[in-house]
Amino acid sequence: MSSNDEAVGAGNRGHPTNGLSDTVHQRNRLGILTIAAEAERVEVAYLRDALELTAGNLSRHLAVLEEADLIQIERGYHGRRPKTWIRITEQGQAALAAEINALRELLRRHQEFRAAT
Amino acid sequence: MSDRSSTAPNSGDTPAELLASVTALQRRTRAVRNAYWLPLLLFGLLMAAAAPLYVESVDPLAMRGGQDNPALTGLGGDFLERSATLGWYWLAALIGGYLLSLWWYRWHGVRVGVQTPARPYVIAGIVGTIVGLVLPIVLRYLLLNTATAVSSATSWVTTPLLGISDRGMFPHLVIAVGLLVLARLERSRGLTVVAAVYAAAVVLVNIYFQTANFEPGDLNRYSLLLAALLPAPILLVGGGIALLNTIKRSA
Repeated sequence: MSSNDEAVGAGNRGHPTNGLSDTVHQRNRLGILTIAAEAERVEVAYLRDALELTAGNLSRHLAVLEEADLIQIERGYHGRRPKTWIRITEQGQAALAAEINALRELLRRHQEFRAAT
Repeated sequence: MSDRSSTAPNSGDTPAELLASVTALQRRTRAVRNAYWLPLLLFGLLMAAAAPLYVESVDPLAMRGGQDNPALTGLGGDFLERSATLGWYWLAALIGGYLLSLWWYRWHGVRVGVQTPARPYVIAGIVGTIVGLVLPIVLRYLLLNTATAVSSATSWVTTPLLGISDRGMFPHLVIAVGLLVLARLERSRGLTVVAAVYAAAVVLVNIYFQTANFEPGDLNRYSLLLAALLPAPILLVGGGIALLNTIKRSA
């Protein structure tokens, strides 16, 4: 299974933990996808500040997400200043939705279990 | 891992904590991205600036109609003394307003680093403007130039729409549709409320004019001004509150 399939396709099989993707579930990558899904595109500097990441760490997480086709990276200039923008792909939207659904399902089962005991 | 993250969701958290972190990130990003105060204030001010064109020089004896204005002034309607000028005004104001909004969202997005997809909002506004120009011609054709069966069957929708258009209030509808589209793009409850209240005000004012059985002398020179100006404070107050919240957040 490719990292892409693993990221978006594990949605609805058996236990909800099967819906959690290693690519997406990592806390910073989940944060990046969450922010990117809220906008048409988001600048790397905003992600760095919002997630309190170092440039090197952010760059590594972005590379993983780009490799899995979950985001697109656009490099350009605003005036003379270089700007790098991140755009979430449709696969990225699907992977994020699958992750959140899996988390909700886990939470529901956890609450049902606690209510039963 | 050397991440110094405290705001990102933590994989070690429980699902509830993770979902709460995701929601907090969504809210924070949305708050930074939201910039709808400008379109609200802009269109509220454009509406207020159009006020003099809705005033008649004398009390009208009955509804005016059948003016031979150019097709491009269709947004100004047919009932007002200065319908043609009003039509040119709204044509320039709507196109200018939507293009300025697009520029504003681009500029704001670059400044804060999070861009709202504003293009569908501008497309909705420009398409609405074109519809506002073409619709009166189509409606008149349906009402007056088609077989009685066709005009009778469609009059329940053509008559009220033509009334809105003739009173020079179709631009208000175009603004309402644009704001409802923008509320969806902004994912903002505040803007949804403002847009819905504004749209309801526009519709109610026009229902009143459509259903009231006006006799000659019932309308005075300010009647259509009141109708056209009534929804403007909703946009101005909504935009003002949104601007204050933005200033408060950035302070």
